[in-house]
Amino acid sequence: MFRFKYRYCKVHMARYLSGDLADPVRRRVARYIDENEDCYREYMRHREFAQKLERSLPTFGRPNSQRLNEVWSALQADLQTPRAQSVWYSDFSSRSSMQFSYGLAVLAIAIALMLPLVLGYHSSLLSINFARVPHYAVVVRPPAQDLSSAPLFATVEPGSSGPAPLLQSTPSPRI
Amino acid sequence: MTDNRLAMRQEIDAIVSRALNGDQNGYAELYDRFAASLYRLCYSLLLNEQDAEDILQESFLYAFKNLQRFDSRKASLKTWLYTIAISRCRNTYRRKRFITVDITQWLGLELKAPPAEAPEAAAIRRDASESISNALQDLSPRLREAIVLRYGQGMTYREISEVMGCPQKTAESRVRLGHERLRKALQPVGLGLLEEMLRVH
Repeated sequence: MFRFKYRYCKVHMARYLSGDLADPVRRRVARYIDENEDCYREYMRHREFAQKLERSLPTFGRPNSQRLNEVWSALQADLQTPRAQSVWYSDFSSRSSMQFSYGLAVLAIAIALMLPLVLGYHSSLLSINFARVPHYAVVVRPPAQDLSSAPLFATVEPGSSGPAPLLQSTPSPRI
Repeated sequence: MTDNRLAMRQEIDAIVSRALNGDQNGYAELYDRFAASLYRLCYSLLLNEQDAEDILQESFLYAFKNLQRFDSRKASLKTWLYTIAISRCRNTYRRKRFITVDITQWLGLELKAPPAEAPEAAAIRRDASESISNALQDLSPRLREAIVLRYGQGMTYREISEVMGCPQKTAESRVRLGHERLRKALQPVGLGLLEEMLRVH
């Protein structure tokens, strides 16, 4: 029970000293401080240290007026510079609108770069003839006809039945 | 809100309105009112004079350029300025990660010994400052912020929570933790060090 009271006091001590506790809690802490020796010691320790901090920390880092004047002069100079120079730094709305417009520009460039690739892919797909194509090109000459007559072209599927066609000897291609 | 605080807030609102209407003296007046405390805040958090000056300048520059966005119904100007400064201080922690304490600058600024002071007393004073600075530096940035805002700036827990951007309960527990750690850190060297700090001023 004593430990509980001590812990309770310890948790609420800072706010108790600064007067930030709600009335029921404040009264409870006050009662524990009165009743319990550990709570009282904690209270005294906390109060002493808090008072010292409250008095000493405000003196920590106190600037001299000369330094503050220097910063003010620099600040005035900064304020007089055109807004565009510090747009990335200070103006969030301008920055976000610029980010948006830059984003759009990058997107447009990306689309422009990808368009030929996409269209090229489509056109190459379209150029493929998926219809059945002859595997051999053969010239069939009827045996009874004049050799000078124009040859007849026909397509022959491999494996089809019938007489074997006469293959025309063609010159080898010149490369 | 007490009458005193309310009156002060109204006064500051009037200065802000003047500044927004183009009165240059309004800006100067705002700077005069808040620069010293804002500098102390930055210095206590960063423990470096040059960084504190930079953050002070950046914070005021941002605040003055965006003064039309300040809404006095949401927060006081002090809280708004402190929020801006704390956010910049946090960026500086992240950039530097390890804060370097410029002891010589600090001693030059903070611990100007009286001319008649004996060398021995000056040495004690230097030790005191160094110990307090080290104790503050050993705290995590969040705990240091809470301690500095509570004890260095005398803010309420509600104001601390607004400035630090956390719930009030979190602000309270950070102050409590910071308080305990600082006390433990200073115990070996003695709490009389804080008194030494006071004797300087």
